[in-house]
Amino acid sequence: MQSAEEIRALIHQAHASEEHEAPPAEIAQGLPFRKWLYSWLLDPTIPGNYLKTVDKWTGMLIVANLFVLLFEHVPAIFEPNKHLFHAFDVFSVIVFTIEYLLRFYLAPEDQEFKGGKHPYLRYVSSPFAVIDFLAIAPFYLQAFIPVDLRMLRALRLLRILKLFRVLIPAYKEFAIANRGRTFRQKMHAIVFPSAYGGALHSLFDTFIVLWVVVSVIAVVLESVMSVHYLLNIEFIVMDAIAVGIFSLEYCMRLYCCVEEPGYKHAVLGRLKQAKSTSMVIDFLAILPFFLEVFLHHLFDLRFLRVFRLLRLLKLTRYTGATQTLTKVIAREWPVLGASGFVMLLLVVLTASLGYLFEHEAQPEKFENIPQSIYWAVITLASVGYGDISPVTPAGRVMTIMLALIGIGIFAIPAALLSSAFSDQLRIERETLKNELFEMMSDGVLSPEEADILNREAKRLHISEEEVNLLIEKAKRERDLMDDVSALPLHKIAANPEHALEHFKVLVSQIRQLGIMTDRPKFEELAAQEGRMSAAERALWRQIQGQPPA
Amino acid sequence: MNTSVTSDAPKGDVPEGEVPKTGGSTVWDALFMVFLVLMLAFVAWVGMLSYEEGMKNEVTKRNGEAWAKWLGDASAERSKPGFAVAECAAGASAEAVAVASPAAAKEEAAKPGDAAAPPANGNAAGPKLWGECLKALIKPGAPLAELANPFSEQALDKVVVKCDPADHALAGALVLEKITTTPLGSAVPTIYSPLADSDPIGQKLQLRVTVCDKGSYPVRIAEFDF
Repeated sequence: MQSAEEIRALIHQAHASEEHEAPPAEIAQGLPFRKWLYSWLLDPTIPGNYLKTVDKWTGMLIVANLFVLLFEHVPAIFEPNKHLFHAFDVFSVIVFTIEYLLRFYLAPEDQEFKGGKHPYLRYVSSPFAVIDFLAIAPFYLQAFIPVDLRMLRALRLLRILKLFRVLIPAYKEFAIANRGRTFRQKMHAIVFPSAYGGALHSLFDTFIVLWVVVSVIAVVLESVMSVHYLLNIEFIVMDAIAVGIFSLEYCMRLYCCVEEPGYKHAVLGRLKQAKSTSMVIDFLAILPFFLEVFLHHLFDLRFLRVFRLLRLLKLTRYTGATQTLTKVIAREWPVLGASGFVMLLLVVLTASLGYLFEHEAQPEKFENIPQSIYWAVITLASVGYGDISPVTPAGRVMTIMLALIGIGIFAIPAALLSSAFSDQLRIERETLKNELFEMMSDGVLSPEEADILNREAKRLHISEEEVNLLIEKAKRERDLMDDVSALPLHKIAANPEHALEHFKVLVSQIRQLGIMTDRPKFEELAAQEGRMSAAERALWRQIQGQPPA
Repeated sequence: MNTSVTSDAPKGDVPEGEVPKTGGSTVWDALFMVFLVLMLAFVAWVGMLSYEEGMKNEVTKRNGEAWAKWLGDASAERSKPGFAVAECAAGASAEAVAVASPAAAKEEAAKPGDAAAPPANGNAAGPKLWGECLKALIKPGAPLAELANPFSEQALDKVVVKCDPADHALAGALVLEKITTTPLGSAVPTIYSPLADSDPIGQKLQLRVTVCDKGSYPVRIAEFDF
């Protein structure tokens, strides 16, 4: 059986791998400086060092460079901020140069280059180093040779190649994990979460999330007239690229969804997948682009641009919160419906009374009951814009009463949803607890179980500490299950396994009793009339290993 | 954000212990790849259409900017003698003054010997109404005659009263409005009204140039003195 510490370590490890974190690196202090520096910054074999941090920030700087390059092509943005663009370029080159020099200095420590005679030369001629060099060379080149600005910008695009430092290792890992698998299975591993996806699947998800965020920001900025005026064409190009990416993702999901359990059938499986909420959202995210181009001469389709904000809903695929909310609404639907019905009654009643009392005094504001409904909802929901208000004494008295009732009635759905949401979370936590108890039934928590546990805990916003407490509780309960003597007899009897164990414990205790007690005196007392039956005496002798009397 | 956990589809992917199918691509895989390429080509084609439409909007904006630039630049020059487009020069003609202020026109006419005198700027007395200036600006060889409406692919020789999304024929059209400052304490500081052909342009005017985009929605270009 695992100890509590072992289980805790396993959970922490699962948590860390989920967060792409590792425990703090253990690097000896007495190492030579170069080795020590390499271990901390670049050694891929030491978990918990700063390699991932270096990669992450370098990656972000590359993406930022890409955006800066795009904005440089917009004179209205570039011209007034030339110095800022230049400063950013200098900063990027400094960072990339430091990175290049650091890798050069540490090359003799790298497994890839240390084997040969000339590690520095081998590093310089390696593909990654060449890419790194090309990323910074144009900047230094322009100091000596006059280079055309457009040419310089084109050369700066080479910085994107630095992303291969992340992509190639991820691809290699993916290729190894998917060796022997079919093309469709590989595509499935990239697109859907699975044991085969690895870092490449995470990169794919990150890429999609990035484009969702970029395209939503673009839609929001398009509504700002001055920005739209300057970047209209850029927005069009960006939207076309985003739609291309999302369409590709949509087709890939639809093609390889048959690898998912429950979607196996070639046609029906794909239809089922296409009807799923997330796929409908994916479809709606790309549809406005095509409609706008083909139908703009028939209808005014500007409103479709707002529908591009639906792309934000694509992010729901990556969080469980919306699923919980959907479950809550589905579960509480009858109660919400009833509450809605009461609200409807109240609104109609209020609007009718408002019309009755106020129509004569303010015929232009309370012209008819449908028009009064606007006032009724604004009053009952405690919004109170004040554009329409009662002026007659009867109307005012009615408004006071209805406003007070409205506070309670309109608060019901919110309260219902809030309590149902916390109920749902409690239920899911209880389910997780039961699953944990089941996992712990053999006294061992495997890494796979720890991984599942951690994923669910994360979805339910349960911290690592809380998971550890649950594990403690499960362990205690399991220990209690081991010590069946502490359980009531009927519970022991309910399980023949426990009953047998309990019987053996009892027999052993009787044997111990015979050893520990004053046996002659016991025998003398047992022999007295009415103290023990003959069968009991025979059993006692048998347990004590004595011949029958 | 966690980017690798949940999915609408059931989890479990490849069941534990199941031996994955051996590698390779099928005909369906190849067909799917062809489909993907065609789909991307289609998106690119639609993107190009969208880009071309967007470029028409850009050309429309450039047209508006050209008008705003010429009229804005002319603001200072047109009051000087020998202004290139005499129809747009500052200085009121008798007709223009009559339209703008009948009382002032009478005064002008009552002055003996002044009737035949040339205006202060030295230009020949001519029509100083916007309609004539507009005609002079778009006639062949005029400064703004080269501009064309990218949607109708015809010369930009019409100035419309306003952009109306209900009328798609207005796409690419130009709207010129004069800005009138309202008296202090008014609810709105300025009023925008269409610049009519009969409006006198002898005095300095505040103008706004607007163009109608693809959907005949207004795109404000600039406000300036003319």
